[in-house]
Amino acid sequence: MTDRTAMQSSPTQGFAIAIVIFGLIIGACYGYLIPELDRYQQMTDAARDATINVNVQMGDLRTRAARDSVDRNKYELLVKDGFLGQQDRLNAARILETLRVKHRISGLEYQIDAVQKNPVLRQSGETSAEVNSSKITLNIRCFLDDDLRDFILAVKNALPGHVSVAAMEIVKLTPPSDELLLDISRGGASELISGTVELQWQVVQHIKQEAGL
Amino acid sequence: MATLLNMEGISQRVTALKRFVLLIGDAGAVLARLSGSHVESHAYMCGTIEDNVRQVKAALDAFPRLPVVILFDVLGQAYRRDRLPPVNMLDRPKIMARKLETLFPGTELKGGLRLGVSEGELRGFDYLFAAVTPSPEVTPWQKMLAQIENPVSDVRLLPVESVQLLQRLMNKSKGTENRHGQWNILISQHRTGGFRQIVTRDHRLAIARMTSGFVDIDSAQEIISLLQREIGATIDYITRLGFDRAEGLNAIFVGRGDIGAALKNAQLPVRNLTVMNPAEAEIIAGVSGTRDDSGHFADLLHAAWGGSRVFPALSLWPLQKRRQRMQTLGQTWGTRALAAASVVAMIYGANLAWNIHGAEAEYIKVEAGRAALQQAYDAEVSKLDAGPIPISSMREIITIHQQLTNADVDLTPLFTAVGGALSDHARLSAIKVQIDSSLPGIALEPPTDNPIAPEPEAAPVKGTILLTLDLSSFRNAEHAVGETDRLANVLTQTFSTMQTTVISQPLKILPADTFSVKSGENVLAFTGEKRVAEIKLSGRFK
Repeated sequence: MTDRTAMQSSPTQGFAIAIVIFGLIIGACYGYLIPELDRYQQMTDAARDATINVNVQMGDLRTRAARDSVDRNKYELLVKDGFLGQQDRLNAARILETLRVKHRISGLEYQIDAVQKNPVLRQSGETSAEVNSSKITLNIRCFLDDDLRDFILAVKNALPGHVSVAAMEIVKLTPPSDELLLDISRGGASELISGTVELQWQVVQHIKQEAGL
Repeated sequence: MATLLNMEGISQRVTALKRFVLLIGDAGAVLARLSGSHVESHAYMCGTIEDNVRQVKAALDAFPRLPVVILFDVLGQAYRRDRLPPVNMLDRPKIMARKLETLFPGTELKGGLRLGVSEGELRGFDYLFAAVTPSPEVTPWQKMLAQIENPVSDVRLLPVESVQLLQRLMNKSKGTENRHGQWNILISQHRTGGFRQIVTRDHRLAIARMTSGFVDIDSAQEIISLLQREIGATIDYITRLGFDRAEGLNAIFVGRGDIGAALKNAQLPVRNLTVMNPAEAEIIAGVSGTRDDSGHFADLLHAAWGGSRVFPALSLWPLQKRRQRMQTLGQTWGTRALAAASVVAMIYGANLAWNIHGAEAEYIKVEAGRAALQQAYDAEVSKLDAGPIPISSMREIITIHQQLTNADVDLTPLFTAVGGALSDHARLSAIKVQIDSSLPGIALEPPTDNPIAPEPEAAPVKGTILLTLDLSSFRNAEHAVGETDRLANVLTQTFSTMQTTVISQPLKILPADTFSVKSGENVLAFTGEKRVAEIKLSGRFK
């Protein structure tokens, strides 16, 4: 009878052990492994999304970098052209004298006014740069009006920075009479044209922000 | 029922349950070891009952874990047909137990088989109640059941279980008919008893008779004459139960071949007689290994059929023990199922672990790629602000330069237009240009991130141009005025954004002038007057 009782309890024990083992395995699967797998998959998906996002940002960045590169080149050209910095008046005098000779200007008087500083305002009201502007007044006497025009054009191109014409007056001094033409044909120099030109000579100068502002 | 049999057969083949079947007869017993419905081995015990019990115990001890099914085929079987009131499923076992106790008081091995709804006015269900009555031939076996280690699966009655064997054999036999109210009889030759007769009506057990005492008779003729009498007695008996001799009786004989042949010639009072040996019968029944040394005893055929059934027709095993056995079986199979499920779960878990390993590797790879990309991105970002000044300041300077360039006026087109429009007789004596400066108004637009945004429209540049014409070559004032007007028209067309006005003509003919002519003066001949005209252009240069 004891044997039979023992035999009957054996399946019960085995069944209980099987339930426990099965429960442990299922518990491990659903309590740890599946959440762990989900966690890794979510992390992987998040990393993929982040990668895609960074790739998109990288594309935008490259576009921006290309745009910046174009602007840097423009900026370097302006620097090279002398648009940045202070006006070098001594150099301007040298250039004007050189051009006077080159364009056969017989008489040249000029005056470079004091610099006017015009701050450049941003929308926010801040100022980071200022335009240094000087008025140059040229009084010119020459033989041909073409020389005068070429001289003005050359001054515009040769002076560092930006030069624009604000006003100009060209007046014929003497009507070409037969005597004047004969004198010219003999090599006599004569001034036929008088001109007054007002130029605006402009360069830009950075305003350095004080530390802490 | 056929479907249930098929399912049972499938489950037998699939599971191939191993078990012992102990067929206990009056003249001995046979112990068969089954695997599914196949008899793997067997042993006849035909000695004294004590020897038989001892041999069976010894055989069972060799395989103590194999369950055993007891199949009784003794004379001491009692059958009662009775009615049970309609009760719910929960109360039915109690009612059944009470009925069995009433019918077979003090008997341990008893059970009931539900036949169907009762006929007549009283509602209820007809049951066939059966029991193995205690006797000196049965009691030792009952004691043995309490002593063996092997679990007892069930205790069954051979005649009840073999009703379906008869049905199977009858369905597959040629020349037999299955009609409503059909009476059939199975006569099989047993070594553990004698000739077992099972009579059914509509495939339900009608009567079961055992004719013992044939063991010592070898003569076929004697056996035939005895069988004729026994079958005749059976027919007489079932006639009282409603058998119509005119309808006839389908009979199947499973036993010795010479007896079967003699039976065919003996003109038994049956309509159809099919004779077969156990080997032929086992093929029809779907069991195997039931042919013993003699080749004609049907003990093993009945043992294999009745013992291999998963769902017995009628169980005599006490309800409590049956439940206990079912619980044990449930736990055993539950343990196996759980073990199998645990293996599957472990495989699933291993697969999950492998997937986690792969997912972790994938994550590390993706994360490393993301980190590298982020690093490259950060490096690119840091490069953006590299340089002498920030790019925003560069753009501001570019914008300022652009504004200045926009405000600049190229005078070359003016000179070209004027030079081209002047005729040979007119000369330009002076030109005065005044350009309105927009210098104090320089301001920066807010920066835009859109590279394809249109450039902001340049502010208009306004000014005036004053041309002084020397018309001294003209002798006719009318022609000089005409030349001035023509030149003004050309300039109007050339500089469409500017307003062209003749402010001075060689003659004082303009609306603002006072035009006076003295007597005898020819104004058109240009005498003594300064022959000059002035044209003014004002408005937008661009």
